[in-house]
Amino acid sequence: MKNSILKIVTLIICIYSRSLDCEAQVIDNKVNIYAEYIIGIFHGKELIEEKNFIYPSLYNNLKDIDGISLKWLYKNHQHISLGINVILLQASNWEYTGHSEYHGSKIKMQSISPTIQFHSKFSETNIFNRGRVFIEIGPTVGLSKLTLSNPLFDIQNEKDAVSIPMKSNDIFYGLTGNVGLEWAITQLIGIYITYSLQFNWVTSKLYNDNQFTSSQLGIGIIMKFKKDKRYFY
Amino acid sequence: MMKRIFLLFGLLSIVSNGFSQKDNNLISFKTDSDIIYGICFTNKGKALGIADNNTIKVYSTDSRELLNEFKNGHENQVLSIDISQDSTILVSGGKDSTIVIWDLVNNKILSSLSNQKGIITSVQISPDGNYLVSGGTDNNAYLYDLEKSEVIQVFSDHTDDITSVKFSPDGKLIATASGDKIINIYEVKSFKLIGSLTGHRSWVRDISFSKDGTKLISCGDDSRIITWNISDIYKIRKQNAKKVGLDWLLSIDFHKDKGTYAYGGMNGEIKIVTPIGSYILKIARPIQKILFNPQRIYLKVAVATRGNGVIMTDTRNMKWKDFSKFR
Repeated sequence: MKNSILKIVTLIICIYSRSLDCEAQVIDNKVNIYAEYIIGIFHGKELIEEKNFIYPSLYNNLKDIDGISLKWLYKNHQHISLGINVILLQASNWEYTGHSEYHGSKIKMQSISPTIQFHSKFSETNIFNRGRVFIEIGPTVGLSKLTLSNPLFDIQNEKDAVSIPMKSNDIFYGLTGNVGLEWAITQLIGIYITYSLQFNWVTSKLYNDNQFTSSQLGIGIIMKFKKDKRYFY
Repeated sequence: MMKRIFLLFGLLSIVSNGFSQKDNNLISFKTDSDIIYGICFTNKGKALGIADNNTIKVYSTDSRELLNEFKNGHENQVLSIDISQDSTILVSGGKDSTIVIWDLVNNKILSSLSNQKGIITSVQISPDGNYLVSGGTDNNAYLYDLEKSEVIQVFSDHTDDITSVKFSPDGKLIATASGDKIINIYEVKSFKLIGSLTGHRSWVRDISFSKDGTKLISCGDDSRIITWNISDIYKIRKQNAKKVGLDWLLSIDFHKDKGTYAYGGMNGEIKIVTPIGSYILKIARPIQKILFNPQRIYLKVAVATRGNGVIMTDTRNMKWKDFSKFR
């Protein structure tokens, strides 16, 4: 399903871009909204050693991450924009040979990140007439919602009423950095790709990971608002 | 994962290929800067003034030879220039908030005016050579007595940057275009505001009177071209409005022949519209200013661009689009 959507979007953008003439100058605008589809992976050791016990990591053995992000940026300097990034990710497909603790489990992560973006300007000539590179950095705070598909442990004594936790909501915090390239299609719409790196700290009762690192590749659409009317003076 | 990465890069390469820029071989004038904001013709069209950074250069339009250079009047980029009908006075205004009045014949500064607080975006000398009007980012239009170099009236009705100021061909009216989406018409004699023309939905960038003074044409960031009937100045009405594309239109100029005008804007397209069809030329650089050459050989325009300096072209280099096909 996702593949089909991606193919259709690709096709539409290709046809649309072909049908357009080159615009001579893209105006830097004051407000940008970025909507992005993200795929990614977790990085780090698959096993965690703690108090002489070795556990398989929850995050680092989740093979699939995907999600969306929505970012609002306001340009308050020629090369600097400030804004807010909201990221919604989900991770699944936990795999580690010989272990089945988190098989079928899913994590949904919602995070918010105040972002500062350093960007180039659209130039009069060359490739940067339509393209713009940017680097972003910002602190992140979020909620990681784990849903287990199986209980992590069995209760032997059936007489005792013990509730087995199957869900855990944990707050994480950290840093997010992005590098990206944006390409203006018209004065109003552009597309972009980003590579992001996130480093976060987390604590939970249902897993032993206390930090996780992920990298993500994103493709998205930029909607541009509030043009800089005094662009030449 | 790799498949997706390839797909992303494939997509980007296809899109970027679709935007490759094309440059035409056009007549150009040698300027230091590739970004030119202000140009003007002498009355007969034999010479062209170009605001090249903080210098004004005057070229022969036929040989493209540099005839004269006006230096040391401005400290920053000149945005607008004009030459009097008798080709004796040159005025210039720009980013340094200064208007300089030059003796065009003897190449010397007659006076330097610093009454305006903001950037000066537009200047024009009245057809009789007695007045000068200017506008800029302080939202005011200033009427000067050119000989005395004194402000005789300040028009303060706009609420945003003034982008263009023009005298009517008989010199009796002044039109001012602004970022507040309004065009104001003033009577020179009484300094009265005769009319405020509303119809644009974004910044009005340029205005031009028809040579008989019965029409005014305007363009702006809303991609609209509006023709106003001003034959009766107390009953000004919108005669025609059309939206052309999606880009900002930065400059427009009426030709001597009724109903013919040229315009250009951010998309780098020069268009000369006649009653029976239009001529189009794409130069892939934003057009800051477009002016018809007063010499009446062909429909010939000088174009100040953002990236290609100043070019001149006539309809022989342009693509013809016949309106009758669409009727």
